[in-house]
Amino acid sequence: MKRVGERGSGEWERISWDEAISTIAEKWKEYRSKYGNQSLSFYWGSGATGQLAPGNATGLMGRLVNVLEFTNIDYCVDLAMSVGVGWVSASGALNDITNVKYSDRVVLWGCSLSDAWWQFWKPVADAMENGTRLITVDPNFSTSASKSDLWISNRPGSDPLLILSLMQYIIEHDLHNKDFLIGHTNASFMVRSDNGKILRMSDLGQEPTEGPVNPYTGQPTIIDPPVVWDEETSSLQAWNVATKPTLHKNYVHEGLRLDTAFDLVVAELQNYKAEKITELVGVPVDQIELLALEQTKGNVWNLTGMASQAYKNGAVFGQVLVCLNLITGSIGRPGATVGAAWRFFSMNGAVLTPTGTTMTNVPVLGLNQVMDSGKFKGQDWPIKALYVAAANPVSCAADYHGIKSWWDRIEFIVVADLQFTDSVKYADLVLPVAHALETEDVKTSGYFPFIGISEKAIEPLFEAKTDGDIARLLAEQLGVGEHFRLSNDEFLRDRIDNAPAAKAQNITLDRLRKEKDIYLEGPGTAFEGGYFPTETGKANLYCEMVAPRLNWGQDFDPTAVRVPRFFPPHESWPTSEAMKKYPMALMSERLRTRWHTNEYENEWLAEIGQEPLVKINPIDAVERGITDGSLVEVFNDRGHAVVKAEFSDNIRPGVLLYPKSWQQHEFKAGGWTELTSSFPDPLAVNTSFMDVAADIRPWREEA
Amino acid sequence: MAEKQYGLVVDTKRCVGCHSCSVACKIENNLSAGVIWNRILTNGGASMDSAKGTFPNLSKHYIPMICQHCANPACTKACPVGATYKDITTGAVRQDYDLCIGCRMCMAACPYTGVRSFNWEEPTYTMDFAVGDINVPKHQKHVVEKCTLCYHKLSKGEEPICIDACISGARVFGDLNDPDDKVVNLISKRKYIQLLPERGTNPSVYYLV
Repeated sequence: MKRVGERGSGEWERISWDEAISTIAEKWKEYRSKYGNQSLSFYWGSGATGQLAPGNATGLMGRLVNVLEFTNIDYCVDLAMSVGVGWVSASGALNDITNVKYSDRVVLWGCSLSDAWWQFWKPVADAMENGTRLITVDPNFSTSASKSDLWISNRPGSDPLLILSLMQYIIEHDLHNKDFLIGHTNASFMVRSDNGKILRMSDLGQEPTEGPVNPYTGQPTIIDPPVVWDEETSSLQAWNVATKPTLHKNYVHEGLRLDTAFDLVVAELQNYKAEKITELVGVPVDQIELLALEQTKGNVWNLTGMASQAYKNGAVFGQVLVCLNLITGSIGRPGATVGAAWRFFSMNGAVLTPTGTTMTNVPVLGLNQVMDSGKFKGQDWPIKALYVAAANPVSCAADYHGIKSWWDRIEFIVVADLQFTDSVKYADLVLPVAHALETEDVKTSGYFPFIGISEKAIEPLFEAKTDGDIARLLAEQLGVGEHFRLSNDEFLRDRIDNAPAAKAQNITLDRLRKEKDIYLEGPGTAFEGGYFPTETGKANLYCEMVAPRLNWGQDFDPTAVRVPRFFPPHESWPTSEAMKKYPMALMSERLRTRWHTNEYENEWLAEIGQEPLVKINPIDAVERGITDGSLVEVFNDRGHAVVKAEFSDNIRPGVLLYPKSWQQHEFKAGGWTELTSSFPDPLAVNTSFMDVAADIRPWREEA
Repeated sequence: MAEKQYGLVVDTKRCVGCHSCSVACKIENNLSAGVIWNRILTNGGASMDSAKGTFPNLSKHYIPMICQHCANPACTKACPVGATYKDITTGAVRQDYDLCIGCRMCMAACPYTGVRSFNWEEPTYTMDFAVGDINVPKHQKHVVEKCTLCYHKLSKGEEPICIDACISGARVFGDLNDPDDKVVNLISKRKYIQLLPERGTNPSVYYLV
């Protein structure tokens, strides 16, 4: 379909596939020759995932984007937690849900597991019948909270502050695991007072030596061991030489004051004593202490959802939560772990880059700056075309007006989808794609601990084509057809059969076709054995230098988070400028009947589903003259949404909670995307969907 | 007394109100637009996730609500034509659409409000073809309908679709008259409630609490 009226006017003309493909190819060729390869951009989401599906920039469309060296618009969603975890652990924290059967305590952080990740609920319920205690930390009384043995309601955005307080309590009461801290973290490393860096043997006059060649850089690794205080010899020693490193020592070496990393961490933690932060975190002291004690009871899994990381302090949330498990030593064993329930499985990545060229990631949160300046990392970077697949940014990303600002400046926009979404509405050309049930694919989603085949049930209906076939047609006309003349079967075989992880477990496409689902081996516990792939194999309780997730020339301080410390959210915090004007914290929850905006037209689900609404504690509502079930306007500087108010005692006073995933036309006016913020935290470069201040008032329709 | 009395045990500690049973029932039985045989209520109020109490002293249980297939049903006694009757072999309370005259006496007699619905108009559907099981009786105008305990599946030795659809393992199906059955075992070990026991209907749906 092609647009014939103004963009967004809803005037369309049906065209043939031949015309659609040649229109796109001609435009793309012109832009590439005039403005460079980066002038074509690609935005993907998680609307269709698999090996052939384009979500996560996989499939033949992902391959095309790499071959043609597109600008890949990084969607900046749900990535902050892993950034902070990475600072501490040099890896991602991913755990198979089957870990719960070994957990004595499961603590849910920002995770309404039974609503957002249903498939994980039964294993948790099974574990609870066998004695696992479930604890939920959530401002609101979520379904998971209602199923829990203990529910702690805290102020939105205060999770890192609460965690720091738990650490302080545990250490003050001598409940920390000293052997683990010495053996598996850098807590015993000495830190220089002059520059905050970890003291190394070269500082003591010992020349660094060369280690094995790093396969990524081709250069030898430099070995310059960190230094600890060895109580055995009462001297400074390399960490791997000392026989009795200590956690507590301050020492002046040639006029330079040195402290153990642990002492520096403990000193910082004194700011977070329960009595000091109880009011700010909104949790009574006795509950903070109770939660701290729970953290020391056997195998604890601090299991995270996506809410706690959706604030400006989202990366720090990941950092401090891992640190909590480090100080209790509840990490690296089945059931004793931290992070999301997620089973990662790598496929053969080379399939996506047949020419060795790749796309370039430009964060969506910085896209308006790139459009304003025409530059990215100092280079000219005009973007003229956009291809959207498996995504609906207009109603699912943050800051509608911000999105529209860069969207409207792109000359030619193609959206491939199977529903008429808000993003389709603002396209120039629309391609109807086949449903997941109309093509064979292999699913390795982390949402379950197995790999499964998704069989083709029927031929694509009407004029729909699969994403793979669209990529093949485009490739031929763009002169790169030689890399796309492979069948789906050949693509899947290469992607799966040649993946090292699949080979290790003898997983092949043929086996998948026969057995349908194959369970992955092992419990899939993060940081197994307490090993961290850092320079020393120890976790960074002290984060000497940190890097942002994506460096696009933004200002950031690599030393800001050396010791775990609290940074307030951007908006959703009592001392913020925004909250002085808009005193309510606006949060979202999942709608049971949709996967983002997928299935929005499904009438069966609509019958049990709701309409757009906002849940509000009756205390806040009555104060504002709002009645149950009436229309209200939720608003801030960026925009508004007019929806029905639902009185709910589940909601913490001061909070507004909205089930998300609506299309624009379903609102009385505005939409949730108008209110959310695209403020980019310079280190996490992640969308802070929950870090939003707003207010609410009765809606009076203008005459 | 029926030879068998099939029934359900629903574990409210496991049920998270996901509505999968509702949707599966809707599809399996090719229910028409606006008709839901299996609804999810809470102990707290009318909206989908209402809790009982005031913040932060709250509790919440989801209560999946279907025809209770009572051992001593009120509806069968009220039906003037025998269209609603107790099935001898399964203990299910059945509804014969061909016999039903649409008087809705059964709806008035049933203490479990909302488990039955009446088709005022010719049923309409989302899809232009029937979905679900081919053996499901065709829906008709001017008759009362409700959960059949998936009678079409029982006759093949299968369990109702809502059992398989439950994501939480919260629904268990079995014969309440068989002392060795898993449902009898469950209600002998766990605390349970039946809905409106004072009405003397002896419902066959047990809610573990």
